[in-house]
Amino acid sequence: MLSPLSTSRYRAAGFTFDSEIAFSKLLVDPAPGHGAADILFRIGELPPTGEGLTMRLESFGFTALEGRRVVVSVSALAKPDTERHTVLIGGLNAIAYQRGLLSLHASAIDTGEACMAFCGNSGTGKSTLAAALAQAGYPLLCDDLVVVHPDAGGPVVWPAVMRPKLTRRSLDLLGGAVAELTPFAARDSKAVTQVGDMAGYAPRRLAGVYLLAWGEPASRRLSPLEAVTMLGRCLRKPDWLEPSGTATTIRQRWLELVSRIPFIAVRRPRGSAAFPALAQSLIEAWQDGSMVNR
Amino acid sequence: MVNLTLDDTVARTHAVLAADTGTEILALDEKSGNCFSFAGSGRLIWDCTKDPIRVRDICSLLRQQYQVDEATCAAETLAFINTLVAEKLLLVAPPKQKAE
Repeated sequence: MLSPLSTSRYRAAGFTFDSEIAFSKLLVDPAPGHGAADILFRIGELPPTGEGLTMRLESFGFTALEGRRVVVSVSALAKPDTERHTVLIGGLNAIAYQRGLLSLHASAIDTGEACMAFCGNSGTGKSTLAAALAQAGYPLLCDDLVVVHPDAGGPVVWPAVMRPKLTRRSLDLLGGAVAELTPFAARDSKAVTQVGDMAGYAPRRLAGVYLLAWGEPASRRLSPLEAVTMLGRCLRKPDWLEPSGTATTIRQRWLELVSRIPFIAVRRPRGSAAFPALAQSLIEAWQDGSMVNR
Repeated sequence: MVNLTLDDTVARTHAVLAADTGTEILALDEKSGNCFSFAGSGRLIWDCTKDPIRVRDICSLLRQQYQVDEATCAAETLAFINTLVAEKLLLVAPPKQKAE
């Protein structure tokens, strides 16, 4: 089970948080312990249904409250590694909603002065593409969750979970330069890995969003009006939007995001074989100062 | 469909979210979920309906920006504004609040 330990401080996605749950260094970076944290993860009984944003699974659950607290309930059946990952990502996801921040189901990589995000439904290859780019020298900033913070100079993304969870098939495709840090979990057949260099904890300006989907290979830039309609496809846990109490703020920030940065629809065939070519194509485009290789 | 006249006064509804791309206005009606894009003359009309304004005054502003005869401008502006009112992006001021 998840044992209550002394509170530790971490940082991810632009938040500092104190936690009674010990998150592995494989999952999230420890943070300096000065001042008040933005968020507290604590172990306890979940509040009554209807309070906050809640996720209930078979062996554990959590509720995010007021954009500041995440109460986590665990049972003796909980498997620490898998559950801690879900609690961390889901908890930050819910807190971001309650703070009116865009919380994208995406991976992100560092292109130097900026970053690019890859959105898409589960299984469309967000993590594998980001890992392929990380191997090519574009460090991974976030896997599975990208929280977008407004900033005077444009939207920014802070590093969150920088060690991607990948399937055996993705690891085989990426080759020997990927370190397996955990066994493959039974629940999702994925292992926590490290790919390429780790990014430093600093915000990057979000320069573009790629929307991944299956289909005949094609890339095209969406009009801002088309991109506006993609909010539900890009949010992580879109069913939390209305109960978050901040839906209007989030929709306004989405409008501002699509009005400021390009959104690119990328289709590729099913299977992992197309990743190296897609990654190389994106790198060449970025080196030419564009978003898609023509 | 409302049959507007040049002497009707219109203004944006408060429920519509909007952002400026630099070349167009993106608007989102939260209630209906409908999205809109306004560029060119549509953008000008959107910009000048931030506060209540007579349709006749909108036409005057448009004719300062575009080479268009008065009758064509009036007909096309009324048709466009009628669409915006039908989509609930603009409201028509009640008669007693109309400008003299």
